[in-house]
Amino acid sequence: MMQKNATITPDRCDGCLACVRSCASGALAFQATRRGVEITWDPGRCIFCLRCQRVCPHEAIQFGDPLAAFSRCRGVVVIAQLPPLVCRRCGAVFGGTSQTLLNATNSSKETFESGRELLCSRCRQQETFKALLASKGEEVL
Amino acid sequence: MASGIQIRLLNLGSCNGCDVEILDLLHRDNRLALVGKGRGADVLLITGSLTRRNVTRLSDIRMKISVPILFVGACAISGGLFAPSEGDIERIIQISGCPVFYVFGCPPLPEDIADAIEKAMKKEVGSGVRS
Amino acid sequence: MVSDRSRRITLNYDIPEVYQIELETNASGRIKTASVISQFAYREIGHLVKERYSNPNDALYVVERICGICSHSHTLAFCCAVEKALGTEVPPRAAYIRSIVAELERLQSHLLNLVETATQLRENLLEKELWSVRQAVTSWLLTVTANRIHYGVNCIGGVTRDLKEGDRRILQRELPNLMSLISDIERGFKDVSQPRLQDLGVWTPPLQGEYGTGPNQRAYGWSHDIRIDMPYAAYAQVKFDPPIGEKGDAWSRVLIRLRELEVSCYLLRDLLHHLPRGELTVGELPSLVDAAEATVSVEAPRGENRYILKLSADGTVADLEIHVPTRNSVRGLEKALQGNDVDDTKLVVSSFDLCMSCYDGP
Repeated sequence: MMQKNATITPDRCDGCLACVRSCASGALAFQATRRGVEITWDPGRCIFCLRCQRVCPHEAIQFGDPLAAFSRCRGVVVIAQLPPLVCRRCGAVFGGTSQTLLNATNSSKETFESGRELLCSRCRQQETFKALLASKGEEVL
Repeated sequence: MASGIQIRLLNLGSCNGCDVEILDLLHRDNRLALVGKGRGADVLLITGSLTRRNVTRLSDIRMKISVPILFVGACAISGGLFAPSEGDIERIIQISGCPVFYVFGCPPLPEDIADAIEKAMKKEVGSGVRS
Repeated sequence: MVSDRSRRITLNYDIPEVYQIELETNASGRIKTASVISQFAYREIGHLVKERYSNPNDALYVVERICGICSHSHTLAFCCAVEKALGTEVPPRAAYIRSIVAELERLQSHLLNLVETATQLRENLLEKELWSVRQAVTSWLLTVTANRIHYGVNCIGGVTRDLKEGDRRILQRELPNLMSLISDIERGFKDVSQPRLQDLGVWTPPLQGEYGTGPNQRAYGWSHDIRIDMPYAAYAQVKFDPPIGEKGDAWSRVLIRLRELEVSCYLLRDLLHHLPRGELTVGELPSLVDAAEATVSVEAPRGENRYILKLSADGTVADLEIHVPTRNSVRGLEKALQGNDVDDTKLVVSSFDLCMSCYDGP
């Protein structure tokens, strides 16, 4: 757990934000805008516990790039900029790249049983639930 | 002591992790020495997230700083896990004209602190064995 | 000042820890009363954990940073308390790794304190020798845990990383060198400082009453050690006798710490030799049905670290009370300073091994 810079490999990140949610010190944050999702890292808040690196399902965030361990500036660094994707069902904007689709089909955490539509995580959950009930022959309201 | 570097260490409420690493650095390079209050330091090192009892200590040195300042560790830079601290250190000291360096880590490695001191003093600082 | 029989002096400490000692002395410099003024590192840990880091996995990071010298003992006590409240136990290999890191931490902590004593004795060579031994221990900790200070080894349910076979062999190979260095140091201390420290700063804590455990208490003949009385981690699997002193003076305290360095080496040898194979974590943690509480003590380098934890039914921390060993050391110091010469204050203080970040933090 040596102090190195946090970097996100863009074509591995699907914007699930597990890293941000796992950060205990508040060093990782995200902003969702029309332009997409920006993940920022505050090296001055980071305690280099590497929990974000452990929880990332795609090994996208890594601490390894040996940039300077000190700086004249204490500012926050943008480490990922994910172009916006629009949910086909509800129109919500979420961040991700075309890798999102690939990752989702490979990952057990997300399913596209409803036919590989580009859905935000909430709609995906709902579709999965519906598919599950339908397969059991239950009425879906 | 012409080529020595005198360091003033100001602990504003740290867990001592950063301070111990600074002490380690002192043992690696015998040209570095700690000096006490009012003894002509060449560089000021700050550790710890500012705690209530340290606010007065900090205000006491407000007008006297004219040397480079290093904020060592997450607590000194941002409050770290203990953020927000009792105040913005830079605003209390009213730094003007002194170069300021932020050494990231919790705690930073002694080598990183040495690199920052070197940059601040524009002098070679031996950091001994790289860990 | 002729008519004024007593003087008040304030000693300021600020490297590395910040505190003050207020002394009242008589006209010839003998201390009448002493009191420690602290709270410079007060960070409201209990409150912080309840309000902002109530998920135990987050609280772990805060608790780790109460102190940079004995941080493993804090995370160990915290994890054991959570595990006890949840009704689970870590697998044997994890328990051994926890004890191995705990003993390595004890080594570097005692060495740090002995450096301070050597500094106060103005023994520069001894100071440098001690520090280079401490650097060796720190580099072992770096090898084993990938960190020099906050090791991040404990997690709820086990440990975060394994002790690789190659690293185990390195430690086993290096231990004899460390043990011989420690004997040299003990000889060095005996030669230069025993006369100086003998009969200085005597503390005789009565056996009744809450005075905790630790080297300061064992220096007066107490035989309590949490590792033996209430074993945790892998300590039930190893046998050892904690060094016990007699006089409760500064020399006894220094000698106890020197002996504890040796004992830690023997413990490490045992633990490394018998390290069992197996899992590193318990896997799935049991969920709570109802609120739960647990009290756990560990033998930190300075003595008993006691964690009183209350978990809510949803698994978050409802309350956390932390009792650190320095609380007793401060009481002991204030008593021990009485009757001593004011010029010996710093020497006596160093022999008590205070940790103000632990004392102030919670």
